[in-house]
Amino acid sequence: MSPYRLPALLWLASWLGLALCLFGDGGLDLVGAIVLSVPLLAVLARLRRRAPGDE
Amino acid sequence: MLAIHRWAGLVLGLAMGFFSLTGLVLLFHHEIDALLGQAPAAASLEVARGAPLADALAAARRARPDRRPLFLSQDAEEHPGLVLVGMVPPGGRTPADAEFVVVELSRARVLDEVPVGETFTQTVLELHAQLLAGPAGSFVVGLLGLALLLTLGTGVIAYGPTMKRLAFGVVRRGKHRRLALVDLHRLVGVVSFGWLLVVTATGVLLSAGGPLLKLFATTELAALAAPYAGEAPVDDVSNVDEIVRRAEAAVPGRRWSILVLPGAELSSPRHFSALLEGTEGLEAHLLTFALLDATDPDVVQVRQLPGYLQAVLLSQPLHFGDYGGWPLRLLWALFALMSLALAVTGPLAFLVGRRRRARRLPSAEAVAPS
Repeated sequence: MSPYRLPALLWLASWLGLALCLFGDGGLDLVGAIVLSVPLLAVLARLRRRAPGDE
Repeated sequence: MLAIHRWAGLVLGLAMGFFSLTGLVLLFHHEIDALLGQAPAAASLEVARGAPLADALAAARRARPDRRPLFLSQDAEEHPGLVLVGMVPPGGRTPADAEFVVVELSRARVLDEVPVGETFTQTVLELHAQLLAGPAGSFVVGLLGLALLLTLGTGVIAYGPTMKRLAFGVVRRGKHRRLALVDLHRLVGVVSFGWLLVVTATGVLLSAGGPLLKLFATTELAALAAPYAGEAPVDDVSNVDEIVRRAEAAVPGRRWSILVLPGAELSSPRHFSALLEGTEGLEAHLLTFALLDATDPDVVQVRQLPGYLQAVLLSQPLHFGDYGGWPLRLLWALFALMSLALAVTGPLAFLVGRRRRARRLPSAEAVAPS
């Protein structure tokens, strides 16, 4: 699997979230904020997992 | 590519940390201004509606009798009922020459207690956008932004080959410290790349905002104003309220945001320029331009701003994250903290690795046969 596959999905989430927040109103901006938070949640999720070999 | 990224990052890490920190402060400028007692009290929009702008201009003239008003602006969302008046000395034509006066519309009273342009967050903004060095500082900030874009690009290109045998986002804490720092730098960098690219690119565009506005003034606007170039500027602006009414009627659904008086770089000696904003969504960030004859308000010319100025206007909310309320600002703050983490972990990993290599080198010499 390409090492860029997951990052590319997260970049798309960032740009989609930014666009929804900017262009949307009446609730769409909130959806945008949720989508934009996906990359941040990905960092949190990865930091909670231990690498193989770590104690 | 990794070498370019490493050295560019070492040089620009400090700049990135600086922009992240000052940007973080600016995200909360309303709250900080309020906390420091430096925010103008927001009046009710209803109270201010219908209050004459001519009275506000007269109040500003009384407060600064040695100057004349050059432009007015209002922020109906953040500071309803207040008008900012830019006052320039005789011969002044640009906002750079202006001193600012805040007028409460409903009572046509100058708010002397509001230190416009001298607040803590205003200083941080000038530091962030111009390094306190005016237009020359904007130019340097733009160059730093371009260099940061290069660093981001090289970082993403270098990411692929170094992550071929590793799972996405792995942070190897059990090995030595440098490895954990490098892994953390890669994870935070690759995840925040989408946001960083937008914020850095919009920052570069914003740094070019001044020259682009000048380009508009000296090309399209100068062509419109050419027939009146030799005239003395219209001094009687008592019909300012009529001008605003005509401008808003010419572009339904929009309200005035900035009104430039005759004799400015962004108007003509005979015309007012009005910049009108929408009220919701994307329209709220895009301005429509109207040129109004001061001697005959019936003559209104409406123009769309050129694409490069619309791009600068759109860059502002995308750069500052101030368009989606609290949830978006909180996300912006978290992303800014991540970019701060990037600026720290990159150079730190380099220094830890260098010290480790330096420690290893003498011991290798010690065991080597003489």
